Amino acid sequence: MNAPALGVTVLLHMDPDAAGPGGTLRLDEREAVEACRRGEREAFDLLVARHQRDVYRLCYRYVGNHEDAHDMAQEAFLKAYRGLKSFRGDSAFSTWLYRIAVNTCLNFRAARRPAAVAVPEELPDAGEAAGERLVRRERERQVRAAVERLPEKQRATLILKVYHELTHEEVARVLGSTVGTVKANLFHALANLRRGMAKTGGERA
Amino acid sequence: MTGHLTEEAMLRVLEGAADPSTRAHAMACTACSARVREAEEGLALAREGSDVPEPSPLYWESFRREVGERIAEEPASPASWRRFFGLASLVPVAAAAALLVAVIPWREVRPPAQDAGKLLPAWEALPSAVEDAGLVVLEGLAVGGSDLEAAAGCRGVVDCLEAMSDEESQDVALELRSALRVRS
Repeated sequence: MNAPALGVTVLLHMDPDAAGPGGTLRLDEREAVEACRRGEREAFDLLVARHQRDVYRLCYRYVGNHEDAHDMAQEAFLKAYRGLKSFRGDSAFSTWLYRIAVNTCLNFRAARRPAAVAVPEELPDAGEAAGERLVRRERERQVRAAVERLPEKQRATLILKVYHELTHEEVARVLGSTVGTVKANLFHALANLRRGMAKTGGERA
Repeated sequence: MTGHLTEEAMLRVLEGAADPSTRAHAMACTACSARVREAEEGLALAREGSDVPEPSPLYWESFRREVGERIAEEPASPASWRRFFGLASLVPVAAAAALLVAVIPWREVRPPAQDAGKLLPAWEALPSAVEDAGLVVLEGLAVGGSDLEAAAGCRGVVDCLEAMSDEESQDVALELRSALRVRS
């Protein structure tokens, strides 16, 4: 019996969670990209399944709420689909997709900046027990607010490097920067985050 | 080592990737060690704020479906019109172009002479529908295209043309020009 050709049907049954972010462009992913370029739209489903969680989380870290993160992630995938022609495969598909997602979120933030950039104040409910969970939540909120206040490039670098565990080289490709700049931005981001927390009294006792 | 470490070198210390002399400097120099410690504490803080609320597993299914639906609403991809306007369909186009060159005298399709100083609306400079050479090309194209409609995912030449984006229209125009140039 002849071996089946590696087609879309086969691709869609592969484990969508098998690839981590920032990995090299895997063969099946390349096939999916090629299939999309040939007009087989359903092949894009594999790429969505594999990257939707990371893209959503990246967007969430930029916009800070589920509704906007959902919209931005959807928008990023649509833009990726429309722009597949320009994806040359020099870098991982995820790197290219992250770049689109970051730009989508930056445009969104720029458009809504006058409204409210600050993370909404959430005071712990006095009726609940003052347990560790509430303290941790409050702490997380303070950190997110401090990350929010970082300069744009430092913030993007920190999110991609620390939260999405991309390499310095991958961050540089996503942000269209150099590795040296990425490293300097990351170092400044960490120092500024520490100082920002100290300034707002979020320092550890 | 003289002077202080660069940010890049301090980051290497923080990541445990620095060479022994850089590490030694970072430990001995008060200013550098303070900056490395500050970044280290910043990193620990950053990790505290790393949680993103996880949507339900069902959410991801609906997310995928929604993306799929939105993609299905997108205009036909370039691959579709390329299949439609592929080499086979360019045969009648080329034939029509050759016919035009051979049969239609230049003066019949040339716009009427105009007063150079007088600006006319663009449509006034066009030939009438009867004289329009472009119609011959489209007729030739429609004959060749009928067998390829199913493959292209549209019902006919007009449907395909209407579904095209600006970019796709430009691509088609380029291919037509190229075919006409080869035959003439």
